[in-house]
Amino acid sequence: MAHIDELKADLATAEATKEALITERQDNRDTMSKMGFRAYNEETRAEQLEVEAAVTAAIGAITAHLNNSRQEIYVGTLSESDTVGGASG
Amino acid sequence: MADTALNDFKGRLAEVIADGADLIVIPMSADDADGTFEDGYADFFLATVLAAAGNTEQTGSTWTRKVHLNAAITQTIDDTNDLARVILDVDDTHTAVLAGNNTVSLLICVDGASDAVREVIGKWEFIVTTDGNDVTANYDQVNGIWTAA
Repeated sequence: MAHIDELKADLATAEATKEALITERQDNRDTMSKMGFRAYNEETRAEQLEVEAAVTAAIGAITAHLNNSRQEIYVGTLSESDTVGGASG
Repeated sequence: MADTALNDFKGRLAEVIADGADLIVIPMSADDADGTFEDGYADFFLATVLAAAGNTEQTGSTWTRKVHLNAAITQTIDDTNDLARVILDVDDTHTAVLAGNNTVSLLICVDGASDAVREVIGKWEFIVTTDGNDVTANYDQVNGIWTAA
């Protein structure tokens, strides 16, 4: 089994790759037209999914190594039609 | 406390996701009462919301903000129930969160270059008493985090 420091290094690499993509997307969002960004977003879907999967896998490797218990907390659904709003602030 | 949105954001999320937005999830150790949260701030930017005395981001131990890239967010129309849904496809796991770093909710925002431009959508109940083990936020894969009728 890999040493925990190696797994953390793998996670750091995966997160750095994701961070670079996030920055690229923010830059493009600022410079591209709305339609241009939508097209760019569609063209890079596979890359986005690959980056997300790499981070998820790296975290999974660490959690498997640590063998901790896990608290699984359900995050609910917010329904606009059920949300009572106050007066506009 | 209920899951609730800022009034300023209602009716917008599905369109924002369709336009390619990423979302960022922020753990909170304290948050304002629902009525204050919905309409108590000058604007809906994250910097403003976090500046309010009642709202505190949880940054202790291994808690971190989690960005969900657009391709890992499903924006779908449910014609059976006549709803638009937004689903976060990937759960968030925080490893080995030490005791004493509890949370009450998650803020979910449209991501941007800084907190001055990140737009708060709402808060979701996320009550965790940490004990050194991992914590996973399980997002509903059927109903999503958001429905708009």
